[in-house]
Amino acid sequence: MSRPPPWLLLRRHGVLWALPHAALGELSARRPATTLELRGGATLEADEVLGLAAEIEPRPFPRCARRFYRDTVAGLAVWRRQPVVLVDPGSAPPSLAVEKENPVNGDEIR
Amino acid sequence: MWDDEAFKALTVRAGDAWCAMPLPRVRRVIKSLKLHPLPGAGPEIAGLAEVDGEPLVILSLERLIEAPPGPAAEFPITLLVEVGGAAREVVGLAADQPGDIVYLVGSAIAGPSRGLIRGEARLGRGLVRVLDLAALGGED
Amino acid sequence: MATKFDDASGRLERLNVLGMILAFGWFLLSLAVLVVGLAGWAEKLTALLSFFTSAALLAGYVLAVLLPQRRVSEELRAIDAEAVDQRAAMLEILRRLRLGDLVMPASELARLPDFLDDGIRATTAALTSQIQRIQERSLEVAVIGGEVQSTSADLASGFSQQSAAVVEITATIEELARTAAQISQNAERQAQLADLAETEGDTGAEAVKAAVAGINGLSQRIASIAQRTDGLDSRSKEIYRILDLISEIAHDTHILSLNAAIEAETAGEHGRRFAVVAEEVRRLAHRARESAQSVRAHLEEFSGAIRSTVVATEEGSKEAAQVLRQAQAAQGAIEELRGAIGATSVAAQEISLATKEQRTASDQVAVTIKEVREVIQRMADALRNFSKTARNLNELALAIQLVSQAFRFAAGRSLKHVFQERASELAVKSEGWEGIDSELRDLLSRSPYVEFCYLVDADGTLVACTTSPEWSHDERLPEGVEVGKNYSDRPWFKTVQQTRSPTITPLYESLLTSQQCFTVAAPVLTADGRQAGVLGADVNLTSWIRI
Repeated sequence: MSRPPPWLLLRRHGVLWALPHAALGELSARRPATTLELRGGATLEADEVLGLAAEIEPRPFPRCARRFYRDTVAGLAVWRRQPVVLVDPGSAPPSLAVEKENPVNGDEIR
Repeated sequence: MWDDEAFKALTVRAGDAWCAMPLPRVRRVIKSLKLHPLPGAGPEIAGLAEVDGEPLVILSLERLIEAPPGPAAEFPITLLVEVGGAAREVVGLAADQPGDIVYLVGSAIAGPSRGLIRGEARLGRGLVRVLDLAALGGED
Repeated sequence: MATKFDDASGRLERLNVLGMILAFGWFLLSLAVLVVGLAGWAEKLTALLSFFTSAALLAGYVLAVLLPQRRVSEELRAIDAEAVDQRAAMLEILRRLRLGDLVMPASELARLPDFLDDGIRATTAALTSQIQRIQERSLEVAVIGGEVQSTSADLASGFSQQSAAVVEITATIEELARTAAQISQNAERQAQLADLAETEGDTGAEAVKAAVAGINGLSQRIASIAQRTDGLDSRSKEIYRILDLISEIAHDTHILSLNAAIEAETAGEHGRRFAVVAEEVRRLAHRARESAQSVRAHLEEFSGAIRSTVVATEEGSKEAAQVLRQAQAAQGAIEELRGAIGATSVAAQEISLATKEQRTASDQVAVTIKEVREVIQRMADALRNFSKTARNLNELALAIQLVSQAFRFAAGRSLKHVFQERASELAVKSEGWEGIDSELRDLLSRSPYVEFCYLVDADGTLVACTTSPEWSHDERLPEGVEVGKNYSDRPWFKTVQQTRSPTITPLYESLLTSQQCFTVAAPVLTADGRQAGVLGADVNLTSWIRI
């Protein structure tokens, strides 16, 4: 019995992101984005879920670049010759947050 | 390195400015890479790339040294350089044009040192900004 | 119908008869007293009888004759006074009639007996009606006369122009006849020349054919140059592509040499020789890049020259095509000319014959047209006379119109009446003449045919005047007119002063518009009948007739 692949690959804003599969609670398909509810309670959104990958080798995010990128990430990796940003389930970057829909008329009153 | 001893440096153009960086810090010069954007990053990060199966953060040299915009790059390049002090990291520096390998003397570098820029040195009829890649190390 | 006078006369006669009866009674009584006295009857009785009888007769005379006679006399005096008043009223009415005034004041008419009042009213009404008809008819005649005069003048002018045109036509036809003769001569000479030209046309056609062939060849050579230039252009593009490739290879080589130098640096002492090689490679790459740039610069110039050549050959090709078309057209024209020359020879002979006939016909036409011109001239003269007559008719009608204006009657057409009414309105404000200017302007606005109106006081001194903006845009006064100046010597003033009635002057030329006009003047009378001044208005004849 093989272990499930540890990373869930998804695409958001043209970038590949990888999320530890164990952190995923529920995945619900919605149009135009897919909602991912994490076990920690956070909810993320992806334009496309590419599937699971085991061959991800995490590398640390360069410290010298931290001053130019303040979001918390678990590191970087490469998947099929493309750079992947590894997501820290405890502190997902705002780029993956669920985008609010435009309020309908009267929402601000309610 | 920054004393009277001569050292080899590689010159490159970034925007409208020519820079020189110590050759031992340069691992490789490669042609332009396919860059992937990193949402939420500052303009100093040009993007992410893959080099020899490894992920790499590419920084914009033009933005790092705050150079004014120059002529369009005909053959842009990426320099793989080692930054930081004792604990070195490899990052990419996006530049517009490769120059030559030159000899610089530490004592000939004038001007105030600020951040990445160690100072300025006269080279031929122009000035080059001499980079101190150790100063581009981590925050810790 | 018994008048008051008849009645009084009858009563006076009756009183006279009664007086005679009483006198006869007195005689009989005296006779009776004489008889009684002679008979010697009682003296007392006689005295008493005589006294009472005399007293009775005296009382009867006073009561029955004297008092009625006195009343009758008073009545007769009253009748006489009334007759005098009526005569005066009649004289005033007759004076007004003499002045042409048909508007009789009611106060004057009331003084007349009813039958005279009725009679005068009927007479003035009948006269007014007749004069109005005369005015209307004379106006119609004036208008028609004016139109006829204008039309006939136009016609006369048109005929004069036609006559002039006919003169020109005659001259043209005579010229045509002369030209026909010349054409005839020329045509004969043309026929001879055509024979000669036909022979020379053959030579010309051959020359043009050769030129067309030459231009065709030139055009083909230009096309060939254009083709080759196109080839050069595509070759130069290929060279550009190769230069780009060389530049890229030089760049790659440069990067390669840099990496070699980096590797040599890492290798330390062992890499020193390698570093020298890397240096050489780098220089080579640099030279290759410089050479490529130099070739590119030369190629830029070369491409510019090629582009100029392409443009020049395109223009040359277009010009050659145009020249070819022109040459071909010339060839066609020469061919047609050759054919035409042959036909010309025949036609020229025919023309010669036809023009000879034309000359004869032209002479005949010229004679006919001369006759036409004389007829037209006669018609133009007649129309000019007719126009003159019509103008006379128009003037005569206007004269009648002015004569009829000598009468005043209660209608808007009677200028005397209109201006007497205006003068009566002014009379109310005659004390100090306050606001007289605005009154005069109001009068002008109500009478658009008036050019200029004015008011002089009882001495003839000008009190106020105003010109109509319709006739004088800058509201300038006629020359020589100014307030305060005395005009008592003017005929209109004198007439109004004498007659105390409105008057109209004969026609004269207006100082303001230089058009025909006349003056209407009317007295301004106060409530007590005193003449406070004279209102005058200069009426524009044409405008007034139109209205």
